[in-house]
Amino acid sequence: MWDQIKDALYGATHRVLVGVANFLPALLALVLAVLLASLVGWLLGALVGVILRALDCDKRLQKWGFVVLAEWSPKNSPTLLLRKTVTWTVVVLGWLVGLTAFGAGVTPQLIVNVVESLPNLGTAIVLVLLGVLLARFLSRAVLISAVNMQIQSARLLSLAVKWLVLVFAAAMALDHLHVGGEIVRLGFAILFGGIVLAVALAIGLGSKEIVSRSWERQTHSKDEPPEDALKHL
Amino acid sequence: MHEPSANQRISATAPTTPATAEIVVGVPSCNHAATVAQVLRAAQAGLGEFLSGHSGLLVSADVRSSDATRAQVRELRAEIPLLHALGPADSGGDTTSPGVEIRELRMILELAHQVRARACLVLDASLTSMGADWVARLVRPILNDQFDLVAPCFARHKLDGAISNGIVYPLTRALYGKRVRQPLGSVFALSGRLVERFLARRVWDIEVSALSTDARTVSETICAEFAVCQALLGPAEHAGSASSQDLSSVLAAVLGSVFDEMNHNVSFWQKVRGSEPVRWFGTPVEIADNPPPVDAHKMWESFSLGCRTLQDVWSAVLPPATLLALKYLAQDEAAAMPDDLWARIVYDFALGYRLHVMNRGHLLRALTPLYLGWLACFVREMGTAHAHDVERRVHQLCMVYEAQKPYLISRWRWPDRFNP
Repeated sequence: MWDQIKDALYGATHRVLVGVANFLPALLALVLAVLLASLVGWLLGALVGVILRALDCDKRLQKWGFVVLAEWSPKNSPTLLLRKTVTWTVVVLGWLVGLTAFGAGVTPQLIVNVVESLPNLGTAIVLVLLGVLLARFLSRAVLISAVNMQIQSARLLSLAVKWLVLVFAAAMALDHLHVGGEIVRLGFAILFGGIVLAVALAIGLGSKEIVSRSWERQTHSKDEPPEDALKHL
Repeated sequence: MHEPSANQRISATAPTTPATAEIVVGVPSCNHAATVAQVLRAAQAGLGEFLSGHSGLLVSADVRSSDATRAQVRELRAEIPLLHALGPADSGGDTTSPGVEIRELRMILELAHQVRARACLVLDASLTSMGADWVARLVRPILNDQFDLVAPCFARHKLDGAISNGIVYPLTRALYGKRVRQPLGSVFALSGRLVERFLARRVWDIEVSALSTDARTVSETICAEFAVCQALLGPAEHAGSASSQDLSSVLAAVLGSVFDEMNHNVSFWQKVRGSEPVRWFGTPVEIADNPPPVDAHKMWESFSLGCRTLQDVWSAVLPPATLLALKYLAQDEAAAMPDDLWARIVYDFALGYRLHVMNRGHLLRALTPLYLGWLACFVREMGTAHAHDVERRVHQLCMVYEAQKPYLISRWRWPDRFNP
């Protein structure tokens, strides 16, 4: 009886010790991977930070119209945001590598999925960035031209153009990521149609004054002096 | 492909080029069929009537016309023996490459250098009001008084030339220290040694707009410390050209050329303080003092609309104090825009142009409402004043530009210190 209890205890202890012996190296590997990844991440982040500061990234991005990026960034600094993104990406990769040491079948599959989706994600980000740049450029061009043409609803026109381009870019990015499927396309079509209608109305209402002024000029007799005969140059 | 020189071109079109000529009168043209004959006839009359003691050569340079301009010039050669036509012999012309005015101008200067001309007069082919005496008025200061550049000073109504009065003249005067009243005059006369320098320094080897030609001529001459003077002429009427364009396009073209020159000559103008008068030749030509109809209220409305909607754009260029001042100004139509505020705005835009704070076309066009605001104030103030009072007022504005120049230099040297 005693021998059986002893065997059971030894067996249990052996199994626990074997389990711990199997688990400990993997745990140590995880800790080591995370520590190493943290160190590499911090170094890479610091390097990215130095390069971006040297390139005056914050001011340049603001100049190029990425105001939203600055607003979302910690301390209004896209440099800091990018630096932290790089650091945490490396740390997460370290975790994934560490978890793989446990031999779980799910983790390698997760890594494969993440790596496979990276090109699409990159393309989508580029699409959105280009959309933001184009929206900024076109909306400013429309705003200045409309003000110089004395269209009262200049700001509305400019906003409409901006959102038209942004919605278009966002829809393209989502479509590229295969997110939402038909719902995105349907939503985009409705939104795009709505904005086009709003633009048409805005242009119609805004240019009413210009059309009437032009019509008045045409109906005036030729003897009348022009509205503004000043030579600017 | 290497462009043929004036020598090569003239051999195909005018085999009897004289070895020397004291005066070369050049007319660069491009699709000026309606006016080129008139200008060439006036130039021929000017050479014959007023400068008969000097050997002259009349040159028409045309590379790109697709209308009847070159046919007109060919017909005129039977009437004017002095006339030499520079350009391709065929009727097609090169209509694809850029730089309409510069290539023709370069050809005229090369020819003037080739015939060892003492004076080279460049005329605008779109002029419809040119008198025969203009040739002598522009050339004599070079022949008799050893000046190197004669800039024109056209007679005009007191409120006309507002871009020149409010921006170009005060700015070039403050920058380069010479009071050249109409720096973008579209005609000018150069001495032989200035022509030589321009060709040696390849001043015209980059393609620039027609307006930049005038701006570059004046700035290069002053920076090289050649002697400049001015000739008083009658009113200048042009066929088509800038008057048919919208104001913001004209303003963008003019300021773009002036700001480009400013960037090009930084080392010179940063050392200049104050300004000195430039000698005048000729007698002032009186023009009827009937004011053109100007709607200052409409201009003010444009300014007001700009203040309401363009704050985001202006804030990339103008410091907060200026934006605040404009905001207060827009609330009171009776208020006048202070000269120092206006001068600083122009300087800030020049700096914004240099720093590329946004697309340069956008930047220059965004100045239009501000210019209209200044002009509305100027018209209200000077609408009933005498022409002499207007001239005094422009001089006063110029003095403020000169007084504000340290602000420009500080911002130019340390843009971040002042940046909004």
